[in-house]
Amino acid sequence: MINLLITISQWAIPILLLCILGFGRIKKIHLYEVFIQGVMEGIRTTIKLTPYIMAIFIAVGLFRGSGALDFIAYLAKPVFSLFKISPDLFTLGILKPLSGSAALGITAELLQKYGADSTTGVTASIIQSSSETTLYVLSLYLGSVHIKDSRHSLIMGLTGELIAFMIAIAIGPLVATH
Amino acid sequence: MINTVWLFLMGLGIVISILSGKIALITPTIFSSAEHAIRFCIGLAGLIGFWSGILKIAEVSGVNEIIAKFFQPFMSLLFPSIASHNNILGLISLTITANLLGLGNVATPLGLKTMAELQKINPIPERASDEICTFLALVLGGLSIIPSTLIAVRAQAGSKEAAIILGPVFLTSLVGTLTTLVVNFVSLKLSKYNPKEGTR
Repeated sequence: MINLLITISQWAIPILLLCILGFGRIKKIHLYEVFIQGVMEGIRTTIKLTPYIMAIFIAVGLFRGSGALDFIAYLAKPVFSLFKISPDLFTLGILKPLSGSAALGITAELLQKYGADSTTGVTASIIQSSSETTLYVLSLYLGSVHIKDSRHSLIMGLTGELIAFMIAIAIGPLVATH
Repeated sequence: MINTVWLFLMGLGIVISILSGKIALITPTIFSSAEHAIRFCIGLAGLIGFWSGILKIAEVSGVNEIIAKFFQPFMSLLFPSIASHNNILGLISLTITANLLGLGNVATPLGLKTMAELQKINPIPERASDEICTFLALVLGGLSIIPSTLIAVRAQAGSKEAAIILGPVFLTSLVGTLTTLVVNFVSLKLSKYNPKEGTR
């Protein structure tokens, strides 16, 4: 079952590529010219995105590097100890909406520190992969088309992450004991 | 809204580093983050460039419309107002599928292409349209069937049951996605009664 799923995810891209190219050929499209035109648009998009990515990277870098993240985790420690939850999971929960790669780094550390199949390890794994990186996705997606008024999207994303975080904390111990 | 979050992260970072005597760290941290961002964007340009080229072929040849037909029942429920824009519905379906399968590298270029197309039919370009909000709700919900990166990381960390989290991740991300969709649905309904809302 698991191998089947992983096989699907490995085969999906090559097959999609073949289908698109094959279909384009059938429809007698100038594949090469159209491809070049698309790449040009894509690179222009990336250049437009650079300022947004830099803004996030600097903010997250400062937030982590200065110890602000550790400080907030320290403040929340009593609450988490009360429920016998590792405060490291809180650090992960705060970082997750901000930076996917930084969160993945923390998850990898937690898996080493507590063991991949421990309660904390399993919970961290669920937190890591059950939600999107809200702030990063929003600034990329909205920035690429220059939308300034994001309406309720930030609240919406953060609510989703909060709910996912709480469910992960609740079901992590159940999964790990099996 | 994003303004506040950014100010919070930057401001708190600077204040804490002053208070904890790490003031000398501020400048190098900023420079290394900025440099890292540019490196990251160069990698991203390759990725987005390639997939934009392929997606352009898909768009011109009409593959997106075929994909849209496949996902039609689901899409017409979520995006009733753009039921005739098959190219966009196809792109939305592809983005969500890429996320489901844990193909993060493809999902970003797909998502950006979808945003560009949605923006073309946005009546107020400065403001996210209802359709854009719903699309963001789907993406931010983070529905996931195969968290491939994480399974690899778990296996590397010596897990005996690296894939034990598959079911729980699907369940958790499903509830997360339902949450974002509900928040989105309610917010869109509310904004109909108060069209001049401004939550920057």
